[in-house]
Amino acid sequence: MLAALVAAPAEAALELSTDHRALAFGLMKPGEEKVLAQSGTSHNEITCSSTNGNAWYLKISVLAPLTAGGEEIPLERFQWQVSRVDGAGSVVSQSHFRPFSLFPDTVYLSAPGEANGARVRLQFRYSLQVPETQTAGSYHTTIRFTLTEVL
Amino acid sequence: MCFRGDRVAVGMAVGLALLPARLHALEERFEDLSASVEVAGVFGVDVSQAFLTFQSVSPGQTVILGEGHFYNQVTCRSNYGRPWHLKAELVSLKHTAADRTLPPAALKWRLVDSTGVGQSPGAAGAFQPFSADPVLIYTGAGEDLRGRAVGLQFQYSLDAPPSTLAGTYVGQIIFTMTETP
Repeated sequence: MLAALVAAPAEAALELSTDHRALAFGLMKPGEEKVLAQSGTSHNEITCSSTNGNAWYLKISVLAPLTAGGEEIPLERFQWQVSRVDGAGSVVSQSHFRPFSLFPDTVYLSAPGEANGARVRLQFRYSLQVPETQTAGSYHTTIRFTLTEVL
Repeated sequence: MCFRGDRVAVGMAVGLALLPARLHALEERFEDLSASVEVAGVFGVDVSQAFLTFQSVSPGQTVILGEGHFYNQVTCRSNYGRPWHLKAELVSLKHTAADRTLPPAALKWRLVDSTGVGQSPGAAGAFQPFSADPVLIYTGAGEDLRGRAVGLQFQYSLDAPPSTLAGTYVGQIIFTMTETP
């Protein structure tokens, strides 16, 4: 009896992690604009890696506008920016603020050599401008980072 | 095994376990972070010209401040999303050298223009009398409740009764912005 084992390929894996730093803008007056940036340049850091050999993309979106009861802050007033990248891939619009969207926006496209487990770190800043005629209240939402192999 | 003389035929079943190539499904991961902001409340009233100076008024005469235009503007602002009211009361119109006062109703107000969408009992064009008790001037509504500054422009009239003692009369009007009807 001859038995042969073919080793199965290693489990393909995407890994995505954050530093869990919430976007807390605190108390703001109507008409005020504030930028969240820790250490003078960034507010939080996202780490991505993949071992499956395919190109991957980091995307960002918001699940809903900042909302308090029935009141919303317009999406275009809430913006994100990539302030620093530790990777060789392509960054969409680095150093420019872009408004959040309900539909995931591509932030980063991996370089050819970044599908073998190499860690890529991206740092972000965030901006919020409260309209002059915004109703008082506590506004909340959730932003989502998505690491995907689908463009 | 089949035995035939000097031969032994041995059949071997060869089985090769072929593990199917694992199909790679496109993967996706996500991480969520919360975002929050506390929008501060704004609630206040401001008066552009705080002194109503009628100069000289003869008994039986009516004098209007701001005639043909407006005399002063009261600006109210609230972003609490709730109705608010502007009220006014005349504390007194007292003679400076004698124990005499003019009746509060001798002084009147008229709302000549507004940048708001609320209601005013004085918006029909007629002058409305002041009172020693707060009288309703304007009630904010709609967009007035969302932080937009509402400008209310006023004229004032003074009717000096025929029996008015000559002299200087000084009074104080208090404008109050409140959410209490």
